[in-house]
Amino acid sequence: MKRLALMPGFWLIILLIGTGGLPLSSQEMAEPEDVVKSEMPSLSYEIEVELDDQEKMLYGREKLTWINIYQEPVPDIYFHLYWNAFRNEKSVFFKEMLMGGVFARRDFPDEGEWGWIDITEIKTADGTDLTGAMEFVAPDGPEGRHDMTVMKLTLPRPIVPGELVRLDIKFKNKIPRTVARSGYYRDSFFMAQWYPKPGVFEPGRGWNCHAYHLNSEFYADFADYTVNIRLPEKYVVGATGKEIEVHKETATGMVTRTFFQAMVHDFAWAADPRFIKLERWFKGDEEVTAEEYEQTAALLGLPVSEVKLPDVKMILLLEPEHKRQAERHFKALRAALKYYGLLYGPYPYEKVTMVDPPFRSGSGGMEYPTLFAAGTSVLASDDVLSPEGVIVHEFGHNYWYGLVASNEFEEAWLDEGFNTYSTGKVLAKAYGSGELPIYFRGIPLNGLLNLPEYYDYELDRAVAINVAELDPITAYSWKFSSPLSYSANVYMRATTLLNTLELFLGEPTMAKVMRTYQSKFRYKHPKTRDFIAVANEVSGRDLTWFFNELLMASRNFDYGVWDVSCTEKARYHLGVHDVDGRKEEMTQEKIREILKREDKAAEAGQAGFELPKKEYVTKVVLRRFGEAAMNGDASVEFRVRFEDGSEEYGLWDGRDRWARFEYVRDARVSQVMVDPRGIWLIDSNFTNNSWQKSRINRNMAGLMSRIVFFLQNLFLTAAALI
Amino acid sequence: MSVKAQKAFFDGLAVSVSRIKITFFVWIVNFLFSVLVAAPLLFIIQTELARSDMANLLKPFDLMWLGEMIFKYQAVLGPMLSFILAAAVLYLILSVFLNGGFVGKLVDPERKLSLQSFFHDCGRFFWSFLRLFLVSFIFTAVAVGLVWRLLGAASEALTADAVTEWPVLILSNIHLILGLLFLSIVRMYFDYARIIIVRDNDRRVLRALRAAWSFLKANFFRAWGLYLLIFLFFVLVTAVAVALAQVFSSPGLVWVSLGLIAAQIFVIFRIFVKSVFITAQAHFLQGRGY
Repeated sequence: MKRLALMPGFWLIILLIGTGGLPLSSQEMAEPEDVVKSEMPSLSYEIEVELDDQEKMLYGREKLTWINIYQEPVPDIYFHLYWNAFRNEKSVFFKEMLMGGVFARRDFPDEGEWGWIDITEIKTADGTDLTGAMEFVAPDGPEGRHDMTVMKLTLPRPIVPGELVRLDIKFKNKIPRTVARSGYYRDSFFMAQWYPKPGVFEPGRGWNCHAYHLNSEFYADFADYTVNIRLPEKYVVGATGKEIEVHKETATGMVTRTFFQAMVHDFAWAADPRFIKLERWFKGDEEVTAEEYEQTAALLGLPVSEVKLPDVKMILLLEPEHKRQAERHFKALRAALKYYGLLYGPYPYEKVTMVDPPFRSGSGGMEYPTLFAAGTSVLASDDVLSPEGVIVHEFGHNYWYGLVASNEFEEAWLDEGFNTYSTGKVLAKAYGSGELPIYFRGIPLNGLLNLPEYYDYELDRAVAINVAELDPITAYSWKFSSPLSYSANVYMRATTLLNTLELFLGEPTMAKVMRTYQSKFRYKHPKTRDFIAVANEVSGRDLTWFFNELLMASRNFDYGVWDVSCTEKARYHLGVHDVDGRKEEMTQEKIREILKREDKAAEAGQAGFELPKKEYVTKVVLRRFGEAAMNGDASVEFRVRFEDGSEEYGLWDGRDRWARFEYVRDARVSQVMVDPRGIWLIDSNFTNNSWQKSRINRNMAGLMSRIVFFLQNLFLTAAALI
Repeated sequence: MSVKAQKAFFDGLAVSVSRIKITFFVWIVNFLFSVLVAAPLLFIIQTELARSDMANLLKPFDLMWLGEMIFKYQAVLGPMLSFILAAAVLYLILSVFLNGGFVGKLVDPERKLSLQSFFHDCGRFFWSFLRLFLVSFIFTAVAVGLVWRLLGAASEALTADAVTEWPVLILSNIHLILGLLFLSIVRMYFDYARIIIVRDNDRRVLRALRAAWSFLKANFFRAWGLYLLIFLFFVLVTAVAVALAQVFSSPGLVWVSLGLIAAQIFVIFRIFVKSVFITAQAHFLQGRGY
């Protein structure tokens, strides 16, 4: 993967901005063909922002440059003004929150805590005032008519292909008491989605710029950001990108910090006077052994040079009360940099900042390019993979959201599902299994209780099967039937689907699929169909059915054993038979007599007579209990085991509702198992995947006794209160 | 801790041991009742697992299997929880009934102990104990609820501007401890009222409550000390049991069987502690010249 500084397009855009472009009024021409071919961003920001920490206000000025790299004229620009979601209860965000029921208002901001963003002036570079050309629109339907999170700016004339437009925007924001991870608590600030940000222009479709929904994250174009943050000197600041300049004003006690980052699609920053700033280095050649490089290269079918990891500066902004957990944070980030890097390609930026969000700031567990917010507690248990899980996950979003920038409004699974799947793999590699985090009033109980360990995929599947019939995973994020369905489908069911795909294709193929998808779509906005195309191409199989059935539909997947029977094979058969040219009728009585005679002869050891060997007929009926059906080259594998230890493997295409299989053996059946290799993790019922002859066992007895014990204690506790 | 409270504790312990039969009576009822309530769940487990290889793979807390069962039985999950809740209420009434025999036989250890005399006392004190239960239920809900909210409001006010988790963590746990301590006082008060009903063989509930109030007014801290001492005894033994539970979770038929026995020993111990509360407090009441 190319490093950013080596991209020709990057230097081209810097040059264009630096020289002011060609003198074509405010809208200037670039060479469209060159631009399209290069990997340069079509957008750049130069922002100056000042924090008024007393009044909780931001005052900003944004110089925005957008190039029409498409083959069609663009008459307008749509902007996200995300913070207007927190303006009043008429916003789509709060309307959707109110759908959660009467208690939803409890989460509303208190007096003076609402937030908003106003554009006070918008001009072109030549000074043409476009402030009057702004209008709020409702791209997601009339219910959003009072929403002010999407603003359409009609331009004096369309921007033709290859033309460049520059806008000078003045804005001011009232910072909300943290809502949706943005805002303030006391004197700590987490500023995300805080500036006017254009949507993404999609050829043939126009601007993709959705309202801010309760259940949705974001979508933006890659850009180069230069951001000057002016704020009181007491603040320790973390931000997207690299700090390139610090300018102190001794007279005012203010400081201006300048950050720069190329090729990212968002810019967030955090400021808190209590942050402890720690720095460490991730050294690619020290963290990864030569053997690990070789193994990874072999797994992915790449030369070792392509899997080598670069050095990355790790910055941690930590709350003082969590200081003893500093190395725990760095260890988790090292693991994330290492395994994400090995599996999905090197992390391309020079630094990564992890923020331990201040208490009650409500901004933890969120990702932004090159910066993420984790979150821990003062009594974090050593037995639980927290904060490790959050750190690995949020860092991982630099890959699935940051680099491969899918549309989180419309296809949230492409970032959350992919990243939850990747997090599970990295945690399993770096830490193994972990315990369920059980806290009581902030005190970890894991050391006290003998809690079993589990892997992420187990928890994911347990949740996934319960929501499979609620919604397709690919529904628009605000069109899920409930917030629970959104998160369970987009995170857990999507992860279970990817884990199933890995089991189906095999680890090496799946690793290649993921690596290819990441490499092919870095700095791009792929869609679900792009991933399917990569999966088909790399695996050499048509997996379209897999995604149609399990991703784009809300169908339950469940194959199992329906019925098993075993009878001794009859040696004589009722009815009329042709014997030596005559009709002979076999009756029950005749058969009984023959069998008796044969038994006697065998007992007497009659010469030349040998009782035929007993044979058994085993009939196995398999069933598709769920609506989802296999297709393509997939089939249901099953195994029939007999009492003499022999085994028979079979395949069923699984299209119909059921299928019967018959075996004649000289032993009775002892066990039937569907999917003996455990490929179909997404199967909602493992219990019916097998049938066995023997009945009760000690596990069942143990389970039953635990239930009785639980009830005994429940009743005694209730009685103790009277 | 007053010597008398300690003496009452050990005397109570001795009486509870000598009348261990009572503990077993209650344990049998508790066990049979629980098995009865668990029967539908046990039937489901039998139906699901008897023929499935899953039974061999099941872990002690199997997330994947639990998820399956929730999915498969989602329609009956609500009714099943309601059934268990209704069973718990029924068990409360049953406990009110059993308390007659339980307290009756423990407070008056001189009387002959037989199943017949146990149930005779159950019937004898049932209506008094039922009235006391209703008073206790309402009073506990109101008083403890009120104190809990007051403590919560105070804790919230003190931590409204907290900069770190520490004040919230500390105060929320102090809130919990104070709430539990207040609950222990309320429970102790009704324990004494129950003992007084049996001791005086006088079934008037209000009289018993007044008498318990007077007694506790004069002996509050010692009585409370005794109550907390018995509670501490329970906590210590429970901690040992939790530690031992890790040993019994080892695989193997022997360990599973030992685990089953150990679980029932713990249940018996819980009932035994309840008897120690009664006998020790009865001794204390007598020792303080009631």
